[in-house]
Amino acid sequence: MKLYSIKYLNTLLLILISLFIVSSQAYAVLEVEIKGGFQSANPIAIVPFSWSQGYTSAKSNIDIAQIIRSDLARSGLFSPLKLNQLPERPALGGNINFERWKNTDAEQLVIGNVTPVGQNLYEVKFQMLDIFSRKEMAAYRYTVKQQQLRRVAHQISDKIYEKLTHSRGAFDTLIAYVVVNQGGTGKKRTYTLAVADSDGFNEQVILKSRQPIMSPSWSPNGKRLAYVSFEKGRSVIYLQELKSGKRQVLAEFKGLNSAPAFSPDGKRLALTLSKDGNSEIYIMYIASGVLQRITRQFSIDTEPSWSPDGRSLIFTSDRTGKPQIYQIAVNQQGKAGNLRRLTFEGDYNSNASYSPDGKFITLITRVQGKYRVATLELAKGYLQVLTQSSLDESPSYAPNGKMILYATELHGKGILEAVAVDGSNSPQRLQVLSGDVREPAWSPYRSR
Amino acid sequence: MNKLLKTLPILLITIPLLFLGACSSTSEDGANKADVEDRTASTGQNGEAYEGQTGGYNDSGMGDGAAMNGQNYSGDPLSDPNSPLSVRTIYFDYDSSQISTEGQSALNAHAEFLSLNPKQVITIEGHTDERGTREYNLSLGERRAQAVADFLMASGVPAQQMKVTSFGEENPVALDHNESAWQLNRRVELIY
Repeated sequence: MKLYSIKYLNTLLLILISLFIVSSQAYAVLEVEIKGGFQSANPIAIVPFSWSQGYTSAKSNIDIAQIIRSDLARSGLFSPLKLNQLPERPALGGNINFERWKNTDAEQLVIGNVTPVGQNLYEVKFQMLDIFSRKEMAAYRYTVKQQQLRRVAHQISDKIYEKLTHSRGAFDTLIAYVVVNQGGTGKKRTYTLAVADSDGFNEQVILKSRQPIMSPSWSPNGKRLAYVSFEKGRSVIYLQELKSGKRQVLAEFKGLNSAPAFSPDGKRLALTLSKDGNSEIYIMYIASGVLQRITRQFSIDTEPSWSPDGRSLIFTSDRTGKPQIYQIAVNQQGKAGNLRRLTFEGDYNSNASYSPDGKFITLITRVQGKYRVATLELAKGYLQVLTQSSLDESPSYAPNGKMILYATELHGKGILEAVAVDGSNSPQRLQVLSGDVREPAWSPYRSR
Repeated sequence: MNKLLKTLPILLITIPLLFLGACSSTSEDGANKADVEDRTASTGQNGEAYEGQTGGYNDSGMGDGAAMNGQNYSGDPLSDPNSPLSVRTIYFDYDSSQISTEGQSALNAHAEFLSLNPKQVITIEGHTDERGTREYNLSLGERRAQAVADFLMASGVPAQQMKVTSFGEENPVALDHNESAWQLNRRVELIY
């Protein structure tokens, strides 16, 4: 991991490493030392963006540098300097006293500015510099409307992330989730299906109901959501176009209509129906409504999720008495292969979904009576628990596979948290939204 | 059906007893003795209607009873808080859809009532506590509701009289995050 900062190591270790000219062995020592208590996140300085032509209303609402700082910190890979740790606040194109920056922990410096360039139109520029080589590492310019300034901040976070980690950033993405307002005595609960930026800001309501809403699932192009709504008094699966708000009923069979999951090609939906007696997995061809039955078992089979290549489904089944994760191969005709059990550790494993590269799954596992987010490396069968909380639910991979978003409970309220997939950071809480928040689903990449 | 026959005699004894208790506690003056006797008689008629299995449960027995003693009791067993039919919630153990003995005796009363009132349709609604994942819990709630429906069917209630549905963990009655709340939330509700 290139990001590990040697500046955090003690002097002795520094000398040792430079002497060994980073042979592979010395590198291994370095890594162990870091995990043994050194700060592993990359320190970076994000200077507040300066606003040209004085005060504007946008300036008071949107602090671009602050959005970038929280994005990068949430990833677990960066520890942005606090404002009082900045030795100076250079302007873009102005003089930078690099000697002063060398005395900070930071290795990179990001500076930028915002200039109003027309009616409700802004130009945002930023530059990232290497503090030691003094070289420019990245520089970009965006011209956007005021309501897109937050999105630009996330796009800048993505640029910085990509430059320094060599993997695609996933800050410029959306999350869907359900908010419940308990309403208090005498008042009824309200359920809201909402979509927000990946940091929880900029919330937009998709559906409000007095009855439960569940299981939002993104279409692969990020333009539609499938979800379960109880507005008719029982579970029905709907498909809704985000932009127009237009929606249609996808599944309204006798019994349960639950757990929709889009196939990677967007043409099929895996779902759970109990029309034939008990909860079974089906695949629906969305355009025609044709159904293929995948499981046939006198047990609960539910929570299907597609492999990235669309060739298999994983799902929860309690066919052995307790919920465990199974995998089954599927093709265009339906079920195409034998069943394989994936989880063997513990007596409660459920709600699994694949990582974007298909090598891992994330799931909820019960450890000593606590329900926690875990990952399972499919090739090795090794289960890694990532959280310490007790009522985790609905884990969902970021489209770049680097973080997992999930719902948990804190002081009696449902909240959203994100954790790095390798467990390298402590869970990061997302922006506090009013009410109980649950069932987060991370969107695919957005078209830029 | 066997179960129903077995529990019938018990019900015939316990129902009048329940009414007895209700009356003596609500009556205030010395005339309560006569009231009690009237009441017993009315429920006795009611019991015969059970035995005969020939309907008329709602109109004759209970209606007369209400007319005779003129108290709060409306005559509809569904709104009588002392009727075994007032038990509308069946509770379950964690991750289980086994119906407890208590639950079974409550369901026997409902089975009987439904058999005698073939036009009455009920919704059987399954619920779970908040632990575990939501979609699995939705299925678990349905399994609980189905277990109740199966029990009622085995006791002679035709499937057409029952609608089975599940809300999983979505509609808790207790909002705390501890065992006493979870116990109350793991339930099946019978909705008339």
